[in-house]
Amino acid sequence: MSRQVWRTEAGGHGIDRKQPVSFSFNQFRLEGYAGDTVASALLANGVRLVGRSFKYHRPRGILGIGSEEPNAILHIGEGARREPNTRATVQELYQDLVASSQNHWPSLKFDLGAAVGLAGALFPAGFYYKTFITSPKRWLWYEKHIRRMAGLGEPPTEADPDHYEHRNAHCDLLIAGGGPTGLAAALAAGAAGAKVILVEENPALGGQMLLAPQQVDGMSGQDWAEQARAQLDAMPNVQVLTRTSVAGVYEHDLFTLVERLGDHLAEPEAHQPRQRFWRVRASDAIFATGAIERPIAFANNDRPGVMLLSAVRGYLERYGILAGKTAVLFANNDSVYAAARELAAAGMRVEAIVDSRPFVSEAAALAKADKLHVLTGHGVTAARGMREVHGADVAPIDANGRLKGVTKTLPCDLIAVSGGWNPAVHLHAQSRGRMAFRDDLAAFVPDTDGAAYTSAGAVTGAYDLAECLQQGFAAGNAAAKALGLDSTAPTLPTATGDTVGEAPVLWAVQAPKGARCFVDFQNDVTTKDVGLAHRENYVSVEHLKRYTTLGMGTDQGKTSNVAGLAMMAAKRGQPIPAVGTTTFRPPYTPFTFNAMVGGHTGEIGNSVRRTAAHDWHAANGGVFTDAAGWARPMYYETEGLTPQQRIDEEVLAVRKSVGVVDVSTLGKLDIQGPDAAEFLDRVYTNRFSTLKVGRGRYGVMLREDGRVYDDGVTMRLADDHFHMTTTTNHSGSMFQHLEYLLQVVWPDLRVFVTPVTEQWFTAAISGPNARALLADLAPAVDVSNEALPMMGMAEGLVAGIPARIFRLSFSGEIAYEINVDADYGLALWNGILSAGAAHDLKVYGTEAMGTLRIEKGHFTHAEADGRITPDDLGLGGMVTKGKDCIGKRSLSLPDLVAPGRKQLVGFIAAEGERIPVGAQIAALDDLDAVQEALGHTTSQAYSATLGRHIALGLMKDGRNMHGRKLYALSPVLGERAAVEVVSPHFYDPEGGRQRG
Amino acid sequence: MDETIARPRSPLAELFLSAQSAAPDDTAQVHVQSVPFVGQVALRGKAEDGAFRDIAGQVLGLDLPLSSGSVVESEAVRIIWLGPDHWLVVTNEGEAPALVTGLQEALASQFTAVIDVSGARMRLSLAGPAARDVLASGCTLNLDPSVFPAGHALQTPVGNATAIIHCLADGTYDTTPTYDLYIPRSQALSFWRWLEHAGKPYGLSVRA
Repeated sequence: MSRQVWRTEAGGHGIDRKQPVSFSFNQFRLEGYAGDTVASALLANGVRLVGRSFKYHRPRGILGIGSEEPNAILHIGEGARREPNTRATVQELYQDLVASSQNHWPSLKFDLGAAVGLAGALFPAGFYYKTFITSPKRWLWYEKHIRRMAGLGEPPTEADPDHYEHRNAHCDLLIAGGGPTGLAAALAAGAAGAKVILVEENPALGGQMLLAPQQVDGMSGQDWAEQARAQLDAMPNVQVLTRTSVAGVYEHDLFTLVERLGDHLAEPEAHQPRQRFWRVRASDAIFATGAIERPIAFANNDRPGVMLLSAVRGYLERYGILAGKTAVLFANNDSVYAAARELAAAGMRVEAIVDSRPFVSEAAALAKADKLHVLTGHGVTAARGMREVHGADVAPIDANGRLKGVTKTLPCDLIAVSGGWNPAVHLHAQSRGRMAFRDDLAAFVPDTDGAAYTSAGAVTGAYDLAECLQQGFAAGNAAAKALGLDSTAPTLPTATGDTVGEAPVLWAVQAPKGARCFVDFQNDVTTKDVGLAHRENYVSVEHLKRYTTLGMGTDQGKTSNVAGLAMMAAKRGQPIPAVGTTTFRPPYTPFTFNAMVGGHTGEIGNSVRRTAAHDWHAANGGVFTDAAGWARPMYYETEGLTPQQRIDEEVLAVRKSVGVVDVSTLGKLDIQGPDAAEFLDRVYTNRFSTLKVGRGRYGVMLREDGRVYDDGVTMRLADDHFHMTTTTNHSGSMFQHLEYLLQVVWPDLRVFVTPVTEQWFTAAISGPNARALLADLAPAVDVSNEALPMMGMAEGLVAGIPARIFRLSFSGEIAYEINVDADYGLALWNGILSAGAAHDLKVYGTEAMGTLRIEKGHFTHAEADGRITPDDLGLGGMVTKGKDCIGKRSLSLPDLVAPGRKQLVGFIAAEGERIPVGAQIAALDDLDAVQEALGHTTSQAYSATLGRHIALGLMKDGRNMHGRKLYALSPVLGERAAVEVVSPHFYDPEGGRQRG
Repeated sequence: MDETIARPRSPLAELFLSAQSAAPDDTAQVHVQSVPFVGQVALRGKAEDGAFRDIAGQVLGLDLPLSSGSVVESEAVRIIWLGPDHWLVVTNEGEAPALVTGLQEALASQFTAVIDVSGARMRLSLAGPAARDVLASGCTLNLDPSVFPAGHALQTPVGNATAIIHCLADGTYDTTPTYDLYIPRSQALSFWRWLEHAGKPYGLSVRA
């Protein structure tokens, strides 16, 4: 085990030196302390080469200290819990944590892909597009090599073992950010009684106060934050969520948060979720999201050992780490001087303070007076070293970063850079807020004009601690007042932190020819790529982004976007605001699909509807299929029979004795009211007002455009009371359709439509023996053909259960649908089965049901596919003359009456041939020939009744084609069959059997 | 016919059957109990129709609740507002047919619909300190007692089904948060699987 060579003797308030924690990195055993992040623990051990870059496979280290980190992204965990693309700067250390580098092959120190970096001209901006455009075949060659080298991390292949949770919440005020501003806002609004949710992405509250020595009311920033936390915890109306990020801002005050409850543990506590995905409706919000320090580009600025200045300070202050022995500090602002003193006091050698500004600020003068090595008007032009920095080239530069003097090399192993700050405007932008560009900061800040929510603190460009606290109190106070609460802002504490001073912008220092200056570290986008995009005439920043992949990494360009578009603006000779920003999209920081899914997979996510006899079906070999969300048995597996043999048995049972099928899934609507009959006349093509009480009628409904919408049988229970059945598919939409018509189109009609699908269990018995079976089941009901004819109904006890019996047939045999209260559904089913033994009863499923209906030429939505009129189906006569109905006028549209429309026909295959699924009908028996498709099949089955394969289909002018011998071809399946066009009514076309 | 066959069966029958034999889990923060066979009647009529309201009120012994989310109840019935022309009348097991007949006869000359829907939904009771948290994982309504107090009921998506949520006790005044849920029968098992998932972090026990 290695010593923590870069850990200072004392200090670091974020760690507990009494609690060592061991972990592994690329299989090396290392030690850190409780409170460390993986990044701080690696630095403590002097490890700074942590990964290889995305495109060039260049060695990369740790750049930052927070969620903005572009470089240090690792695999964390093993097996099913391995999480790729985890930022080392965010991941908290736990005992036996396993971390490994991504994107290196075969090893981190020796990486073959880095050879690509040497031949770098191969990978300019737009490489993928250019390769793809010149020759798709070249791309195919490149792709397999690129796939291995590119990409970020590997997801685990095992199922995730952890629990994920969703949570909906509502509050008055959501505060994003638990730094000084957010804390102040929460204290003010919380004290006034507002229901507040305060969200902080780090484990501790305090934000920047934890990363540099600051004083509030005579105590350290950290102590003040802890005191504030205690005060907030004492308020029942305030909820503080740490380790939680605001991921997205959406319409209607919806915010999504991701809470990481178990990511800092080896595995979550028993039964506890690893992550919780929150959907919060907040009446108001305050964005106290702070600002992100930005680097200045120079040659080889991606070498391990080049870090953000604030991160170097933060690692010292919070974790007691000196991120190098000898440092060159490079900045365009005064924060570098306070940093230099802190680092020097802790034992770092500060080789030089390179201040890009051409003047000597007050802080610079003081530093010079204290014998610090200050170079004003200078810049770092290049980092020296490969796997880590061992020197910095420094030269005098002008305001635009151009060299104007001799370069000298300073020895150092750390270059700490500060190019100013970019306010974290992401959430404001997501809420459709506009940006304002502040020239003095060279940064976009939220435009308060028209903003939906309040931004406060550093996100507004207020980089001074006292000002942040003041803005936070004011925002919290104003939010409470807007809620109608009695509120006065707390007294402003006195605060001191360091000052930034004047910070004239510097995006990049002129680089030697051939050197790379990185803008976007994660996606390997250099200043040259931006130039190339400009030379190739890319003008829009959105195009720049996609062409160069600037800002498209998992960090979404938090440290790079503004620099990239500033460079683009300079190339175009336009001011930055004229170029604009790319769109800020959720999420602010990446989160896992599992959090989003929340464990709602399979049946937990999408419910399965089960009929009352489901358990019987499952226990008796039922093989289920999904039918509009219902689980329906297709057939019943039987020992010794193939599925087709079993289906044939089921079909033949219906034709020869009797079968029973569970049809509870059909939609059922109760329609009542004085105008119910009139209403049905208007929605069905045929008439229902003439229907006798106790009788049913088959009806077809049209859409407004004249196409067939749905069909079914409606029974008249009383003068003003009907029971409508719909197809399984349309049970929901049919209710919506009818309810819409009643509420919007004909509000004068006095009709109530009530969905009752759930209320009824329905079993259909059909076959020559059905009447005898029903007679046994319902001894008190007269089931004779006279008392209960086709389309008649009866009420009475069936298997001892009160039931409605409808006599109607989908199979072409004598058939009855028996409806009972669903609680008694299984009892009815069992009753039918026990009585059926004497009648050769067989249970059948949807496959046999489909075969039976194809034999009868009944259409379903396979035929009525949304383009089909009643006449196309041969049902033109069902459109009653002398009355109007929905869709009727559309039937006279020219295209719907034109000759040559596709019409419903039957196809019967030659002996022994099988009609392919989804076949086209053609004249030539040639799968490869280019020939006219005369029609297509819609449903096909083997008909055990006829001993042939048959199909329904739609064919141009089909009714005149009966008798034609053609071919059913499926070039996709490579299958064919010789077929004859016939009437769709294959079996008992006169319908004598069902009326018998 | 064998009269013993004709017994009603809950869609969660096996689940609650097995719970009868299991030892009670005292650490659970949410308890689920099923009341599968309550009588349920859909009552349709126009809220602005005074005659309808009067007659229905006389038969039910309670004035119909007229605002969104409201519920009225007596020993015999509980009336849940579902819409401006739709109420769910909940009564004891086996009492729905008589209630339907009574309402139909009294309302014979009115524009109304009275439908026995006892088999359409199953009722579950969810109770315990974490009952609201469990619901909040799958329901976007604000369930805070200030907004959704005891005596309030709404129909809304919960998890993977559309449920009627009726708050019986909201946790204020030292009560135990308790909710009745009415779940479409066909989705009962899927909903139970969702509930089991949502309740996992809080400990969920089944009471027979």
